[in-house]
Amino acid sequence: MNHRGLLLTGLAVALAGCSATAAPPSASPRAVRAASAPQIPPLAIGVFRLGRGLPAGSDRAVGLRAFTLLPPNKTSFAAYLGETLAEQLRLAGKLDPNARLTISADLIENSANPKIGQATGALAATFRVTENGAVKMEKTLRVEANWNSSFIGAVAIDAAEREYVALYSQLVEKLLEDPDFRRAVAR
Amino acid sequence: MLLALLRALIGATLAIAMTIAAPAQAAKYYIESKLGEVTAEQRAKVEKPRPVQLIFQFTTDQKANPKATKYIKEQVFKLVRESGAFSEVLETPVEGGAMLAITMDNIVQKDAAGKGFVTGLTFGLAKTVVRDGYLIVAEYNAAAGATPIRREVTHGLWLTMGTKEVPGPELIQVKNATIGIETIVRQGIGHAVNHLALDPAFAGTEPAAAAPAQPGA
Repeated sequence: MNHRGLLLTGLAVALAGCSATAAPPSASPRAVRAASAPQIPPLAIGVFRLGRGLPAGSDRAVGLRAFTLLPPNKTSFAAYLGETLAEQLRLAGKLDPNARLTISADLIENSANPKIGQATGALAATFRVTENGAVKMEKTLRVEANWNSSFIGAVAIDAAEREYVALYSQLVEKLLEDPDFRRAVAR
Repeated sequence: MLLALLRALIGATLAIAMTIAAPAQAAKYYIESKLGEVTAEQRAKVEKPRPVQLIFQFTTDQKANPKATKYIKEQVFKLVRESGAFSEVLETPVEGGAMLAITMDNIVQKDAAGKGFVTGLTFGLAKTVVRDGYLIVAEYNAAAGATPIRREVTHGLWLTMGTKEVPGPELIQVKNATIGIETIVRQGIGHAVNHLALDPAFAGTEPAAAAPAQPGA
């Protein structure tokens, strides 16, 4: 490819790169192992929504410098958290829409700031385990990330997307390994 | 689309490639030759293959990377099926509870982007050599609660810019980054699973439900 071809390719990539959709949730061996434990019963996924403290629509997209990251299926990042949990339960054979216990959550913190130098991201949610409408557990869990962010935009955006999306797996792992959660759902 | 996927899979070398202004032919990709393909002589012969649940995750610096996982997951499932170590490879739980968890971690060279920027500023005259390391970990549990067997394999993708020198003695040039990463996945996963299957405990571990009762138990 000559210089002109490279320039045109670069321009196309830049124009197409203004927004992208996060990949669907994938397996976390750590989360699947935690969910596979015999004491964890089949579970249903309830409503995952934006918490009251966050501005309306703030979970519909996340800005990473001049780039916008959208959740899969044009839903919300609150729903993405529920989908991430559902995927781990499905792989562990523990996802059952008719289960006795239901897990729901309010997303109460959702941030990514890939500024040059030290970038940060955080995700927090208040999880609830309910049985026939009665709350058996309510607990807020939080994860955060810090990473070196390049002054080169394309490199920084890639890193920010990876770090931000990884928070969802980390939060689900934290929930599934949480002693209070495991006690609340134990058979 | 392909570039975006490659960017998810290859941290350091693509950071360089994205920041250069030099002609594309100035970039050369290499993979490490020490692993190679799993040969017929090396391949484990498993007499009684059993079904297994396969959980695969690609990570970057040990953090989940769903985009890269999605991109190579099917290749990984195909490789494990073709290994002959298992009678069936499923994504969901199998009878007997055997689980194989494979993680492939991309260890990103921290100063890669800066090196690429310098190479770009000098139109490819500044010499740049970077390595994307991969750590493949395969862990097998014959049944829930069984002692796991764990094997690790390392591999590497190299990129050079502004130099015709091969950066090391044990490197093989590949046509591009896509072929490089596909080869690393094939060789890395192939050897990790084969090393598991060669472990005497692999054939000796029976699922808990099928284990014979101990005398006097």
